[in-house]
Amino acid sequence: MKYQNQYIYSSCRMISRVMVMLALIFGYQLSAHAQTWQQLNDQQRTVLAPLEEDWTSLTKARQKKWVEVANRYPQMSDAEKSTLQSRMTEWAKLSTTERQVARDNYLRTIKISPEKKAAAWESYQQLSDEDKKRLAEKKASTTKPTTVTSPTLK
Amino acid sequence: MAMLARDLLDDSSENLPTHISERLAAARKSALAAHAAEKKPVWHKELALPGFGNLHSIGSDWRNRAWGTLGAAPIFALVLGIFLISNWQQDERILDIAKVDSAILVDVVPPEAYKDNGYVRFLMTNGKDLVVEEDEEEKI
Repeated sequence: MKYQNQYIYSSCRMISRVMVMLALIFGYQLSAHAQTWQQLNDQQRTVLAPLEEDWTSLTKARQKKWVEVANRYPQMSDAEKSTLQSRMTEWAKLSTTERQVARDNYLRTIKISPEKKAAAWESYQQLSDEDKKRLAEKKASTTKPTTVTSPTLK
Repeated sequence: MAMLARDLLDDSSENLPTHISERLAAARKSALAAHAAEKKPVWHKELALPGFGNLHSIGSDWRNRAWGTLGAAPIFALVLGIFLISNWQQDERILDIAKVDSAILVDVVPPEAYKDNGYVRFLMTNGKDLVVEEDEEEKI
């Protein structure tokens, strides 16, 4: 009986230690990478200015992703910089599914030349809504899940 | 048969010669002593726990505690390893997505285009879908 108690006691002690460890880890994970707007550096704040209002409502993963985007900003050309900033708000306001679809589609068409893409976009915009809808339905019927669809960023 | 064998063995064990009984008793004693010695290190730390009273010397208390902490080390290492690996994987994924997102945001066509499955179909098929359907309609 005494030995049984000792077994139970040592098991409980072990479980409680593991629980404390897990609690510390999850606590760290929740607090880690949470960057307030003030914690960003000047350059990051300037780049991410269009997102300032919504910054606190973004998930930690999305904040981290935007910080990464801001870190890439200095290597961009002037034209790319202005394009990026003009599209940021629009992009951030898309739903998770829409962003996943866009990423998926971008990677599907990554080998197509920019000229062809631009020409196709021009022509596509001239199409009737009915034709656009018909094309979208065809795309949906041939869509296969890819690794691009991100479960991480919501 | 079995019952008969059991009865015969019981009878003969009660009437063993003295020297055999003594040898058996000595063997039992040494076996029990060896068993206790084997168990000792395992119970040693357990018996020293607060709440159960320290049945061993008080001087070895720090050793018991150290042993208890070391015993949990592999589990801590495993949990920590899993945590670090999952964290690293998530960071890598975020980096990949940041790369794709920055590329989409500076691309020749707006994100609105990539969001539109119709455009991507139109681009990938060079608009052939629509042409074929129009031809089919004409044939009918």
